[in-house]
Amino acid sequence: MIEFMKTCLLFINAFFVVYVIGYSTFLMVSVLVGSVTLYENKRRQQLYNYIDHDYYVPISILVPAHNESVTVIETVQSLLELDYRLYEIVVVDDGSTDNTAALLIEAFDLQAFKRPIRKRIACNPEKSIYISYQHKVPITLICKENGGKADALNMGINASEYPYFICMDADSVLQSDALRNIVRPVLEGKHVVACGGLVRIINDVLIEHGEVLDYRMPRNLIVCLQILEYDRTFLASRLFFDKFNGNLIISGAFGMFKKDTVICVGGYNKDTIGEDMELVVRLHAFCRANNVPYSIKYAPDAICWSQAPHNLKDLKKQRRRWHIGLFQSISAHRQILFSPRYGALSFISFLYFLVYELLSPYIEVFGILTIIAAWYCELINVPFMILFFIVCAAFGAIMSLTAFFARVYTMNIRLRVGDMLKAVSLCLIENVVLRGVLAFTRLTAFIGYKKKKNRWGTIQRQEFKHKEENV
Amino acid sequence: MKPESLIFLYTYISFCAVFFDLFFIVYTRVSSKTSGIRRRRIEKRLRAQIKAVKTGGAPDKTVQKALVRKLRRPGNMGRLNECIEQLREEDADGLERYLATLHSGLLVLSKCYSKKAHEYKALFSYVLTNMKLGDNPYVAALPVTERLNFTLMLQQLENYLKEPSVYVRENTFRAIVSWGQTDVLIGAIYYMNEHVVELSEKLVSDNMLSFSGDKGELADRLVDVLEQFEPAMQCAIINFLRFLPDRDLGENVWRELWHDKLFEMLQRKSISKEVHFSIIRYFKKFPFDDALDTLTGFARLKDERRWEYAAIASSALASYPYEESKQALLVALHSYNWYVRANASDSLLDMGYDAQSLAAASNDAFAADMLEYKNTVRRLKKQRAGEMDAQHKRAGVKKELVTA
Repeated sequence: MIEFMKTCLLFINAFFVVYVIGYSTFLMVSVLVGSVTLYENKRRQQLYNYIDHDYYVPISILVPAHNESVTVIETVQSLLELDYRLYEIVVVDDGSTDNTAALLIEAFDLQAFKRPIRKRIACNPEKSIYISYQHKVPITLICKENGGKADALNMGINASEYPYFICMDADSVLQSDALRNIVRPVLEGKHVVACGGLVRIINDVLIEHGEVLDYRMPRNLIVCLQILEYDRTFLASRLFFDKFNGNLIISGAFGMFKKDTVICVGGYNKDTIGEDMELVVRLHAFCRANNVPYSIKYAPDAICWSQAPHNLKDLKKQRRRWHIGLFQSISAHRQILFSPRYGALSFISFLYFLVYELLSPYIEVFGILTIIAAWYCELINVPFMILFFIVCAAFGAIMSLTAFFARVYTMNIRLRVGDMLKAVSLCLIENVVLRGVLAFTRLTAFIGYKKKKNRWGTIQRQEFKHKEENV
Repeated sequence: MKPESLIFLYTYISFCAVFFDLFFIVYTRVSSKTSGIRRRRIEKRLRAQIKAVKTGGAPDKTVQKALVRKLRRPGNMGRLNECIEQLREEDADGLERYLATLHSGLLVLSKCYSKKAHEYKALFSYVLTNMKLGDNPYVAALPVTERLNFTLMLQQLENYLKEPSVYVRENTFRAIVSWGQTDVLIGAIYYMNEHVVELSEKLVSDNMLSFSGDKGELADRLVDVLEQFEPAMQCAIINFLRFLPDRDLGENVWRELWHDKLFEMLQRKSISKEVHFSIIRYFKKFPFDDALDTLTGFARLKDERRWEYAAIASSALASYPYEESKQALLVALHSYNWYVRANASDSLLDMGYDAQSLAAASNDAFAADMLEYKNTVRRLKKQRAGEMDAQHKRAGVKKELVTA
């Protein structure tokens, strides 16, 4: 029996060595590639390698909103301050039960009118439509029956006038140069059907007229940890995947798409809670299956400031939703896995998301149980194991810091010494504690799946920070 | 592989990452200081040379050579750009005098940068644009042999247009446009066409509109050779013609002389449809009565594969307030293509027809919906325009009161 256990543990040990090497290698390569890309972008700017026209392609900005009365006015206000000449704003009120629509109508002097909408993608019907031409660009508000974010976005796509659209959240603020920067890949390369922007955390950041006036690490610990996490897992990995057209996600908080292509693939899927990832994966599948030349890019200098959950309860709700969305997207397009037709997308991106995102909570829990079993059978070198964990945790923390500082120094962010020390002191906590908590959240994400699979849950919004608060 | 090797490997990589982070923090701070020192050295040399040329003398050859040698480094080229911007504010005339003397140096640099990475080529082109040599009267006054250096430099720049980077192509095209010479720009356009250089139509036409030379002459000459170019370049040129204001044409250029040529291209099926669309849009802005039959024919098209012709022609007919246009638009109003209906509605309302009467007469719910929508949009936009006018008037009265 002991011999059998020893053999099993040997194989399990080999698996975990490969697993850890795989993850660490990916982390190191993505942070390295991500940092180099950020430095190259900065260098490009310093060498005047940029295009400076008043606009490039006309864009429709779609803002789906459900009970966003706290932030929606400022979001739309920020959109009116974008440094771009030709765009429109379409807010879709997805059956809000608060006064989201009333606030918008009053704030922007919207007038009710009858407008035919060409429904190229099926969606719940509209109840009323308002519009205003009083501002820099037309603002349209469509009030419709509740159908979820995907349904609201589909309505927005149907109502939009322009060939490209941006989807963003109603609790986000775009930096004034965000549109110019997110459109740039369309000019740089051919056949760009989608481009993701960088989502940064706005909590405790002072932004006015689309410009950052004061940046600091938030006072809230949970938000601070998320900033470090975002840089390591989102920024670095997306820059890495971008190198071989392997991005599987464009954040729903800020992404640009070519409308015709999205309509070809049927728009956003209402049956998934991770509609942002599912659409991008479907775009990959569609274009490859039909031999359509395409690329899905990532623009790290197209910045959207969005609110992060500031308490553990809301953070868990968010991560639970992301994990379910990930599962739905991967299972809907599992034909991509190990398919030579998809190349690096299949063997790197898709495999990474399957093993190190979707299955990782289960693998890691299994690993812990195995360690306990090995310890029980006196098959484990405890000091070595402790040292190994410390080194792995330190490695992850240093990679987080490298990604964090790469972003800070290449995006001209003036960071106070105190904030720098905060980042250094929190990186280990982020890598061990937050990761562990979120792993547990993801592990339990599927409890009650059938009942809650399409439920978003409510997350508490905070007002954006204003200048007067500093006085 | 021994398990301990993993620990050593990760520990080693972690230390490397920490050293890299610290190194970069220190490097960023130090390099900004040293960059400032280098920039002041270049500025000192420039000021000395400007002083020499302003007193009627020639610039110091030794200093000139040393400066050109320094400018081979891209970092110094960027610093030169900063110096130019500063010196232009302080002494624009002196700067212009001096830059005219850089003819041989810039030729050498253009060859030097042609061997460098693409981002440095883009930098060189950008700085060249910023030098505004095309508008420099001292360049025009140079002897032929010295001006030849600039000509050779521009020929060298044409090679940059082949680069795969869009930034090199954009900055180089801008530099050539800023030169203000029609021959040079047309030569560059030919070059781009021959080497199938891809640059967005909008970027090409925007840059042509910022041409500092005789735009009327440029337009005239481009129309003469229009068919020699690929469709994408033809579209860019026609868009340039469309956006070119009449006041920039000059006394000896008549827009009407282009219309026959464009109309003839519109009727030829061998011409790309994108070019046709550009021409139709052109004829919307600059109506040509001979094109009326063709446009009404397009508007009446029912072939779904040619919906774009119907849609764009329906939009263009707003500029042809004739009965034939109305009849064609009424047919288009009942098209089952959304865009055709939308554009036809817009055009009929622009021509002054009443939406309700048209809707009542049409007996088509889709047409009626579209007419009502477009009518409401027009009303709201007019309301906004009226409010803006009132605001401007109030501001004007206020200004007068203040000055009084």
